[in-house]
Amino acid sequence: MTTPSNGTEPSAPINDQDLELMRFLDGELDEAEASDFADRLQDDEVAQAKLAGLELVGELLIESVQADERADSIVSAVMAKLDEEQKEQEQEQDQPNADVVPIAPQPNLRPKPANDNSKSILALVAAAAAVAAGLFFWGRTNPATGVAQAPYEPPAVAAEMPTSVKPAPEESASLAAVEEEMDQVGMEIAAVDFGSQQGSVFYVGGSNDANATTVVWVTESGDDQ
Amino acid sequence: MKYAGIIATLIVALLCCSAAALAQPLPSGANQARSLQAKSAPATVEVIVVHGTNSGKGIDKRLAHIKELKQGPFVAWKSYQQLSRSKKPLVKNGARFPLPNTHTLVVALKEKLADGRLKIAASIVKPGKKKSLPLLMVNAKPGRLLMIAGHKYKKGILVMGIRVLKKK
Repeated sequence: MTTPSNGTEPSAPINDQDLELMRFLDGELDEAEASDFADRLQDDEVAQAKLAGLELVGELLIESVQADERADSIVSAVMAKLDEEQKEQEQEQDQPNADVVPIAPQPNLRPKPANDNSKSILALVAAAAAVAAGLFFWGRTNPATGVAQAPYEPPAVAAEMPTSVKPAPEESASLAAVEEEMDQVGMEIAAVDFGSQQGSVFYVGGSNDANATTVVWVTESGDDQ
Repeated sequence: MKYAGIIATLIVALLCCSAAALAQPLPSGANQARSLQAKSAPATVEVIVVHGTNSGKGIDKRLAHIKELKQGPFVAWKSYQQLSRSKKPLVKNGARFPLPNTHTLVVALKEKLADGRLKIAASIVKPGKKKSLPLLMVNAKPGRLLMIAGHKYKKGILVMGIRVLKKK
């Protein structure tokens, strides 16, 4: 005899009759054993009750297994659907349009920064170049004659020279006399710039300032020989 | 459409350049302008280029009137040969005289002074727009000689005589 188990008590040991019942129920007995067991089962009410309980448990197990299988199938179906959609997405990325094959290069997919003003800067530079070119050529054209002018413009005077490099007049001489003397100089050096070279200004010949010849001497480096 | 603005601006720039280029005078116009400037020049400038050496040849007869060559620092060289002598109108754009050392002497009129002298600017320009004598501003009395010397040339020196001659 066995006692029902509630999950907390240890289950009763299975005897030979119970094993035979389970084998009968599972169809594991041969025909002779099954016929003999069926004959004995008709006279044993306890065994009939056990058989009915085993059949009920078996049905419940089958339903449970079937329910698990359905659950598994649902999960499998969902997973399969997800896999299918993922594959479709991958295929779409590989071939976005199977019918139309674009020849033109794909547009730049890199995101542009929000402060990308390259177009505006280029436009401004181009406009500045246009204005500069126009002003350059306009400034070179004489508006009156239309003749392009390239006037000779000496550089800024580096050192203003005195009215003459002659020795300073005597202190007793009046300023008016000095100015009159300077006016008599034939070639009055107003300014001279020797640049990176050295030089001097002096007078040669003549009995007085008016007759002297002005000489500008450039001390040149040796690489211009 | 992205670059429509930029392209339009560049086209405008090209049009400006083209219009300016078209506004440039033809060579004949430039020659006419120079001719007009030369006619209106108040004076001419004469430049004598002399080569001073110690070659023993003496002083060129054409330079006999320049007594300064026998005075002052010029006595360091015994021989003086005239290399060139030319006159050009003294204009504001500058009269250019090529020198044998590949430099160029430029003499330009700056202004007429009240006392009859002329303010002139002279400079010596090297090839490549460098200047060996950037600026020499002179109040020149017509007929008087101004000498620029010291530039080394072929074992000697170059002497340039500049004289402003008023038009009659």
